[in-house]
Amino acid sequence: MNGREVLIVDDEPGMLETLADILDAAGYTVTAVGDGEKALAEIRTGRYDVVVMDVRMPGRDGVSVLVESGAPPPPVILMTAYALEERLREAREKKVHAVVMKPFAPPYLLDLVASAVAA
Amino acid sequence: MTLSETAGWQVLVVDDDPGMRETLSDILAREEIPCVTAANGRAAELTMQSGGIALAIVDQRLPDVMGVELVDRLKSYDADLPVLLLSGYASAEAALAAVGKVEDFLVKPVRPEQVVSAVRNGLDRRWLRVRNAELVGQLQQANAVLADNVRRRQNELATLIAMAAAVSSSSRLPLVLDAAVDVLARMSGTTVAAVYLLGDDDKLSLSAVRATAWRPPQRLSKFTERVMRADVDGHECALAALNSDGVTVGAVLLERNEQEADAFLVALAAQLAVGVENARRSERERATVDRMAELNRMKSSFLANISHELRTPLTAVIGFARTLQGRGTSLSDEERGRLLDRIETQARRLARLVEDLLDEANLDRRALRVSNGPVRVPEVVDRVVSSIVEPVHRLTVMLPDAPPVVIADSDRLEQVLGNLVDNARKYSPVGSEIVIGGAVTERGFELSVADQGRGIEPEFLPHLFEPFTQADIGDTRRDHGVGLGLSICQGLVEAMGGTIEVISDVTSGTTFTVVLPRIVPGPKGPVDTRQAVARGAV
Repeated sequence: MNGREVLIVDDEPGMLETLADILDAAGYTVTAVGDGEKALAEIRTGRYDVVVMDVRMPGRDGVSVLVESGAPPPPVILMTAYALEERLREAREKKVHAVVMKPFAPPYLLDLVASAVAA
Repeated sequence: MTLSETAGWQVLVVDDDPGMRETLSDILAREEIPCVTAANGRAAELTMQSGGIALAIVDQRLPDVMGVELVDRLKSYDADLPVLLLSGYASAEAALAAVGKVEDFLVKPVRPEQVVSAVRNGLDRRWLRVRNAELVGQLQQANAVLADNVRRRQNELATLIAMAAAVSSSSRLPLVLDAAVDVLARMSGTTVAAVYLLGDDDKLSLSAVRATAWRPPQRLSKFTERVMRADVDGHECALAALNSDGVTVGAVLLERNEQEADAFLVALAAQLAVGVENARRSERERATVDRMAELNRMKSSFLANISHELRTPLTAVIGFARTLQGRGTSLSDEERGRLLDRIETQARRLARLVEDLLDEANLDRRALRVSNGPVRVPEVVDRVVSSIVEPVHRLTVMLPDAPPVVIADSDRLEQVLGNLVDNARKYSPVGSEIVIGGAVTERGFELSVADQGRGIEPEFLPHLFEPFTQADIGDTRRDHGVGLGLSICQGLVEAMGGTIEVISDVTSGTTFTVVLPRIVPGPKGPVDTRQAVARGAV
């Protein structure tokens, strides 16, 4: 345990599971939610050091969560499968900490999370 | 000009003295100038009334009227009548009174050469005046014709300029036609102006019209002349063909109360034809650009979808594999089993997606093969129902007691039914009922999947079976998948010789029906379809 809290957001149960495995093994305290609305509620509690979130989700998507989460939100790492995704333009304006392309190797994600915690 | 050249005209001699009348008649007769005489004012007026008097010689002293006064009366019949006043002495008073009214004075006793000279002068002036008047009349007429021609040409020129502006005012055909008939209707004298375009029926169809008199017909027959005058519904009209590259594309119809030049109509029609052709070209270009933009949008949307669908399971697979790799030795058997299970699930998902893409590509190339044979539908339904993991809906199967054997491809039919059931599960609320039904109808065997979901928007229905489309409920609310399922279903069902159709209502849900027309004749005859077997909930 390193005492850092990470919120992971994805509508894919498989993705949540593997993200939880990876971050848990690295000593983070992980909370997983399956949609944007729940993510927004969690972020507003103010307890998270980092948010790792999928862009494309039914209902409220990752970019929308980022935009609505208020200031100052914790550093957000967005996951996307499509670099040219229109929605990302809005996210970049909102100072997203990093955008990570799927598929990615777990150590790369851990590096990004570590840099977000340090920021 | 002499009097003899103007047959019928005479000189009138008015004098109460018979000797004087005779003298003057003799003098004129010698010069072959016909004359008529009157003894007083009254007789002179009567003669004047009957016409034909070219000149009058009037004695100053008459029994019933003063000569000067008679001059006025005679001139009231003919304002141009030259008059010579005859007086017995050189009277200044008489001369003054007559100034401006008479051509000359003759003083008694008259000398013949003086009379002849004065008469000839008077007649010459008279004919000159007549000739002048004629010339002026002709000139005025020529001027009027010229002015009319100039006005017509100006009108035509103004119309051609306005038409040039009208045909370039817009790149949209209806607006161009509207502007064109406006120009034609504004031409002075136009009562009806219409433009016809050639339709699929090879007839000219009324496309734009301005009419104050009568309404031209909806259809006109094609004609071969470039310009012609024709009777249209009892109205004399000018018609000009709109030709583009030597092909008739339409016609202009004009009813006007003045005749325009053929060359003008040809020029007018040529301009309008260019306008029509330009507008049509623009419309084709616009359609192409719209189509390209739509294709581009579809391509982007497809790429975003396909990337998400392919890369998300791949990410999970890599994640689980790394976890296994990194902590393999410290993991319990149970934990290792879970990770391997997850890897398999994600890999299957990927495999199915790739299969869908290949199917779609093959459908696209018409290369997808089905191998049809006898199929027992309940077996296919069983396989689909038993493959469902995580059942969260009430699934009811209602098949006839003894369902017939149909001709189809068993694996492909399972793929179709599986897809329809997946869709039903995806688009309807947890706990709601999904019914797989079957019935024999006059169309064949009908296999249906009915849900109680949110239904399909009517505007989306026509695109339901198109590839890469998904019910759009706001961009981010898309469900998983790339929008290939129904497109593939339709392709497969059609390859099996059947059809697929959908009935949807946003209040009661959606029913997909697969109609398989080929039934293997059974020994039992028609099957009662009302009896159904509930296979319980899954």
